Amino acid sequence: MDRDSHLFQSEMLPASMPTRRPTAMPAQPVVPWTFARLFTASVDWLMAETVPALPAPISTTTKRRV
Amino acid sequence: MSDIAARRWLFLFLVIVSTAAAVTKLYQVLLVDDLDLLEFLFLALFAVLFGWITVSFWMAVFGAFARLTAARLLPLAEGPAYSKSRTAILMPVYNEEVTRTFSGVQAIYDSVAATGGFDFFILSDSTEPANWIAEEVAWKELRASLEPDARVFYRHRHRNIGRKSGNIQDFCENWGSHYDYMVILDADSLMSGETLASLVRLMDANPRAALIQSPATLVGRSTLFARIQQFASSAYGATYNAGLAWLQGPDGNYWGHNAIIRVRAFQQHGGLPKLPGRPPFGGEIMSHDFVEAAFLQRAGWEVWMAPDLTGSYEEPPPTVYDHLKRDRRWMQGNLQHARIILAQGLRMPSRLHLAMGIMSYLSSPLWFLLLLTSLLEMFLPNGTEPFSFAGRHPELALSVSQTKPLLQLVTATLVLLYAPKLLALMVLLAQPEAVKAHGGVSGILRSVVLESIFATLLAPVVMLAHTWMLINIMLGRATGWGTQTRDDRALPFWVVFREYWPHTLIGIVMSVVFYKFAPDSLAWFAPLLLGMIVSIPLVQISSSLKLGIAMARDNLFMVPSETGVIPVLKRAHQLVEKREAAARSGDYRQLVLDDPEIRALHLKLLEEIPPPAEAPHPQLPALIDAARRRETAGFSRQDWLAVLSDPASIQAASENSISSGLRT
Repeated sequence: MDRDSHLFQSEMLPASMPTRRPTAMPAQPVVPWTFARLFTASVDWLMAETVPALPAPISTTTKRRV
Repeated sequence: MSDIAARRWLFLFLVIVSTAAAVTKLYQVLLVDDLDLLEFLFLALFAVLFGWITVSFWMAVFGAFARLTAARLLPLAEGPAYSKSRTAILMPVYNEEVTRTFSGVQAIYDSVAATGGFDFFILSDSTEPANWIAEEVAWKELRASLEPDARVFYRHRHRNIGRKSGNIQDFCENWGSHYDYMVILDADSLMSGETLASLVRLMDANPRAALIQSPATLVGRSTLFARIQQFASSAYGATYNAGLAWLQGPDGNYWGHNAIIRVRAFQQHGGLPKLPGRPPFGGEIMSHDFVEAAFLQRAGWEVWMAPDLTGSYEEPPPTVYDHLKRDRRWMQGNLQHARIILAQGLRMPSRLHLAMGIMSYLSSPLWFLLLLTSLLEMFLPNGTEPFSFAGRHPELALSVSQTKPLLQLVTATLVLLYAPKLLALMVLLAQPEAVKAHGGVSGILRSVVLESIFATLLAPVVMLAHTWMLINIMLGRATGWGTQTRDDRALPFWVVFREYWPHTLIGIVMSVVFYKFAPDSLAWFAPLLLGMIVSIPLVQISSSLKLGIAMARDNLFMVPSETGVIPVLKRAHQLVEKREAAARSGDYRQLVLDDPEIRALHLKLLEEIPPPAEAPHPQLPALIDAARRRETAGFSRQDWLAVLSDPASIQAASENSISSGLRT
């Protein structure tokens, strides 16, 4: 593998860990379904599945779909 | 319809049809004298449990079919051998045995030396001060034994916030961005360099994959129980995993370790929330792995299993007692998933994985409930009279024998329970190399028979234990996440007696009741009752190391790691022996004060971690004074941690040792 053999070298001796590079790790939501939410989501899904998307409008100047 | 969708629909169809057939049959039997409430409960429990074993059965059928037709179980391309990716191998430890942990790390390090491209992180959450210092010393010794630019790092946290998942999260937040992938290990995990390199190549070539799980084979123990588990995992595991992999495809699961994870995906979507409410159902998520996989999939990432990647190992618990102790934690962790299973946005396969996890711990208590229901049904007087009246004249009721349909149902249940073993055996016997690696045909056949008898006798013990665990969890008695026993050990008799006398007593009492009141039914329940009655000798004998080794001499329960050489495993065992022979004597906590070299190392490592968040120990000055006089015999764990976490205290406590050393 193509590795930089000097990576972290200066930081390792005698230190134990590489430099920190802080990155936030957000807690993921756990939102339980309620009947109301389930109903709304079902309607959204049903509409998305059954109502065809409208075609894109046609530009008045170029007469092409935008 | 895609292939995988077709397989899933077929699987669902087969599960539903076979369950429906059995439930209908039982319904017809129960309907003869009208369905009362108890019978309805019996029918409902039977439906759930029969459905559950049907899932396992069809999974094994699919697995056997996939294996025998050499189906492609991981339809992913591998990237080129030349990889620019950077991978961190993480070994989270929590008061684990230091010698074993560092020997494992070194064995894996040696195994990947030929490949290169991996950095190693020992992420310690140890709360025992002696373990903490011993780990630091072991890390330094390990570094000294490797080449100077070896990238093996060590980090200790003062507080184990979030347990193992918190430990990994701390790595991801601070150092994760240096890496493309991370491989999570357990303290008793081993992986070969070849397997690790394969996982990297798979991740390189499949940018939508966030996680690839390599199923770990159980190896490395010699007690009878452990050897039986190892054999079962090796002989049956390949078929079961094939079935699972074939059905789940990119909607796989994460089993907590021996998996490679795309760090960026995990950083963005693997952060666990705290559930509202108190433990056992609220608070921190205990069994984090399933949930992390579900979150990754919710965000659109793929999670795969690589069932054909050998070279991934872990050790089984040495005894039934240790196995059930681990089950206690896993049960609580899995039951907690009931709070997550209905979360918005999760994909259906993730919900199924969570449901299967819950069911694997609920099934035993449900079997127990089914048993109680059938007993009540048997002993309670039922409403049917032997004859009825037509006007004033008694009319003989038609005597209907239910033996035949009941026998059919029992046979079907037995087939579903034992057929997965037979299917796996068939797959195993079809591979000459595998047969040789498991000790030959005769050894395999004898082992399968004995394993089946052992599993049958153990099932009622597990059933009672799981039921008791469930009652405790429901009563709100939370469990901690203690260190696991990772040593071969024969259990002392008093421990086994203390734990399993209730099982024996229940077995004896039930047998007497049957003998007195329903002697005809005794034979039906004999295997179940026998398992309970012999639970103490069963647990005691199966914990025997001598018997495990004797069985190996008799070519029983042989696995590839015993019949052949697995280099990474052999290397780890050699290193353990070497380290144990060269073990330093003395109290590691005390050595920080007495040994300038260890003190310098400890102080240097302390510089790199943030100081403890909590207020200093109220008696710290007194503790320093006592440490200075070397009166540390009465120090508690907290006292030691207070002194050893504070550089100034260490300096102050050790200053006098230098002068006292000079005086003497």
